[in-house]
Amino acid sequence: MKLFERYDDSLRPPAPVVTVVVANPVNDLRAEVKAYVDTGFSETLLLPEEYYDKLSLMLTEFDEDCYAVHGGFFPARLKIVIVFIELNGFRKLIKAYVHPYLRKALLGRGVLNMFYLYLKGPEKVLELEVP
Amino acid sequence: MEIEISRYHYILVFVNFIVGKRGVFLRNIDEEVYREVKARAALLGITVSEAVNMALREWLRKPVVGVKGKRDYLKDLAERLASKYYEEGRKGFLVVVSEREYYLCSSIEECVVLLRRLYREKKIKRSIIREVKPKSVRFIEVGGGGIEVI
Repeated sequence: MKLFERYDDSLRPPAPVVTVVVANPVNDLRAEVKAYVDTGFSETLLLPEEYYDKLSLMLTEFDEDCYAVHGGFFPARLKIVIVFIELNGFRKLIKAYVHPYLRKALLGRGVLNMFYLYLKGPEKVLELEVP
Repeated sequence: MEIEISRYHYILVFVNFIVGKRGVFLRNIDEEVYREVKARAALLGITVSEAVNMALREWLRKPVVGVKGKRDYLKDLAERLASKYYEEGRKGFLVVVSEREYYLCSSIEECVVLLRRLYREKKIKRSIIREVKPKSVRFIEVGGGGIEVI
């Protein structure tokens, strides 16, 4: 089944976003997250710190030393948590990353590579298909 | 080589200072460190920005092995158990929920099933999952060039 989602027009130039549901696999708390497509992000999902408390992700924290490097030099220590990611009938248990300074959630290649993605730039629409 | 949290904090402050050129608000600058940097920069006849750049370049040349943070008894216990199990040749994922309660699971899915049960029984408010292997530091690249944190 295909999913169509409009780009975020509040950014200049507009950016492709995907709305995913992030769920805590232990207490079933869930939240809709508007995640920006970031093919430069090598991992799965990068979440702002607010979701750590909102979804009680201290229940599924994974102990690993991990740092995000922005633009090649700005390091930030991340928390790693286990969550379910749900999207258009797709559901998978993943390691997600919680960033202390992040304001926009990012969806990286670790998740994007599971789908067919078509960026219809002129129409400002993202088309996503779960194989 | 281990880096103390205070030093890491100063480095972050320095990085924030540089990024600040792009309009980032600066917080938690240690005034004493800043005053010293400013005084030394003046003595050398360079700007504070140049001094910060020099410090960062110097820091980047050194390998980072680990950073000490606040003590976390669950993580400390997970670390001790992981080392012990690894030496014993055991594999899997440790789930540490308290000082006396910890489990060894074969997969992350099994950890989740266990945690769901403990949560239903109101036995946990927090947990740490730790793979039984030596701990390493991992760096991941974020493609936004910093714009996602502004």
